[in-house]
Amino acid sequence: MTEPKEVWITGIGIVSSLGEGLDAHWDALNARRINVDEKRFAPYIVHPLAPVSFDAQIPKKGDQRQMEAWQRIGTYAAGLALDSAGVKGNREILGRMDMIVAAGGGERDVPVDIAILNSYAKGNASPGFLNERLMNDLRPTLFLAQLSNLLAGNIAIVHGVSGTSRTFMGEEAAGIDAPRIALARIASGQSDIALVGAAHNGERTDLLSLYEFGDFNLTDKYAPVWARDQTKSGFALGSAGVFLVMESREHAEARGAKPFAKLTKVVADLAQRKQPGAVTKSLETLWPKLGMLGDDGVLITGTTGVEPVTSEEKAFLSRHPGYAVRATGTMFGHTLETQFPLGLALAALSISRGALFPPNDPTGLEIEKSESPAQIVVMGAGHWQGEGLALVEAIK
Amino acid sequence: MTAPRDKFGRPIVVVTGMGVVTSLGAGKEDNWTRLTAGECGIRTVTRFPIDGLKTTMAGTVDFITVDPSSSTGLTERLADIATEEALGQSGIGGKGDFPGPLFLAVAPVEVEWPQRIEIGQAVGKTDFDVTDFLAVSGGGKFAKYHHRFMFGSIAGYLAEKFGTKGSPISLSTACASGATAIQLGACSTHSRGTRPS
Repeated sequence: MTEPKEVWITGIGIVSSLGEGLDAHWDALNARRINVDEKRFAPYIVHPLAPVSFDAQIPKKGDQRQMEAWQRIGTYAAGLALDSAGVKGNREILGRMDMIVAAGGGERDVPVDIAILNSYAKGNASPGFLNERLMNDLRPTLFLAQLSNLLAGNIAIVHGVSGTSRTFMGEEAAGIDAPRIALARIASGQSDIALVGAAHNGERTDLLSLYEFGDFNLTDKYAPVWARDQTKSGFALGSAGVFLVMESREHAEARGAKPFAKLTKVVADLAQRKQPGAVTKSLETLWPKLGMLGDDGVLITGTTGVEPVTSEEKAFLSRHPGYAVRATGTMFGHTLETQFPLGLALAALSISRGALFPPNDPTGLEIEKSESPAQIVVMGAGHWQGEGLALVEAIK
Repeated sequence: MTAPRDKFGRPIVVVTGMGVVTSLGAGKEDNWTRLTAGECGIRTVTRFPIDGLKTTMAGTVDFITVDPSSSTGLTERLADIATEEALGQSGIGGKGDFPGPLFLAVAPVEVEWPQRIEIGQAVGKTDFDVTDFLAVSGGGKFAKYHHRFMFGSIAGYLAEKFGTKGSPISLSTACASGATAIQLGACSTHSRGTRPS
């Protein structure tokens, strides 16, 4: 068995409620800016996508039209990542660039659905009614805009990324497993370079309904993640797309690419959560698998704000009191599949800028950290299943 | 002990158990009997109304039902049956303790019409908008539909029942999904990289 290859993050693309690109995000994080909309879907709260000119990364209007918002967000972020890595339009590299996308999907045409349900409520639904309405009222391309693997398909069409392609599904856990598998494939020499990421449109009533089934939505008034508690828990859905270009050190050096950071390790598990404390225990079991970590450091978490998992994450964090913690959910909302790639992106960005962004937390759980971080742990625990940790490090 | 290697020096991966459910039947035996007898599983769809649809036939598994009816629920049941058969043949691990990861090819998931209609009826009005629909979605009455319509729900169920190790991966790459799942499984056996960690 040959020695595992070192894997570098050489490209980052982010678009979110805070804007687009690395400078805009760095400035917003340092200004502790938060963009929430409490009115549009009241009583539910969302972090809406900042205004974006999709033309900049998806030049053909026809391509934009056949995508739903989540696909446009993702295809846009993927383009930013390719630009950031300096491989945009490089057909030789793109032709063998592998892709792992963590995706949801299923974006509905809600007015059509609601009109159909109204007819049922009025007793106007004959046996063939549903099929007739769906066949006549839905635009034919909606089917493509709903399919999970069509984000990867659109990235291939628009940006020409045409190595192997994999789409992982399964909420937050899919966003942990995508970089985990990409890292394993590059480290073992099966792949030289990969585009890895996810996209989420949080401004969807069909998703609000789905999460409302489990009473997961934060309602009425926004609060930072750590200020939510048992009586007022929940997540505010966020819109965001995050993609990373990951490649072997040899490959990056050979093309003279400037890395942001090294992705050293990604570990994941699926705790059976019926027992209280299972998530805390799962994270404790994963922790030593990252390697020898010090008693103090930096940890960026995708903590949702829903219970009981948030309390279990707090219990885990309380056992590592030397760590300066940052919860991305406070600034970005909850972006499901995208939350873990977002944590990786902000970790790599912080390392490359030689600083950690400031706390954004009235409860005092997040502490100041003035030194330049050499290592950042990224944590994720899904709102209902899946846990993961990653270690992002400065390149020596 | 030295494991046999392929020409790339990787341990040879062998198949020790298989399970199958198709429109022809459940299990390898039933499928083989019907296949070699020249039977065809393609027939008129009966699982849902086809009035007005241009497509009326499919290779549909209509001899297994789940309650409440949903394609995600049926998918989970089919996966359950096929996994039982595969593990039974393989004899690997113990009950609820499979010693490796799970890679599962599944179709995308969304809330389905019987459930939408049920929630729409819970609104209790004949002229409502999406705000009314959202207002009745919460409160725990439809809590089971959250789990049912999560993308990771089938893999989560299989991981719990069969005790697979690590984070199960659900993947979708259209018609290549099954091949991709098998490829990831083979790679995880080749290298430590994708083993549960």
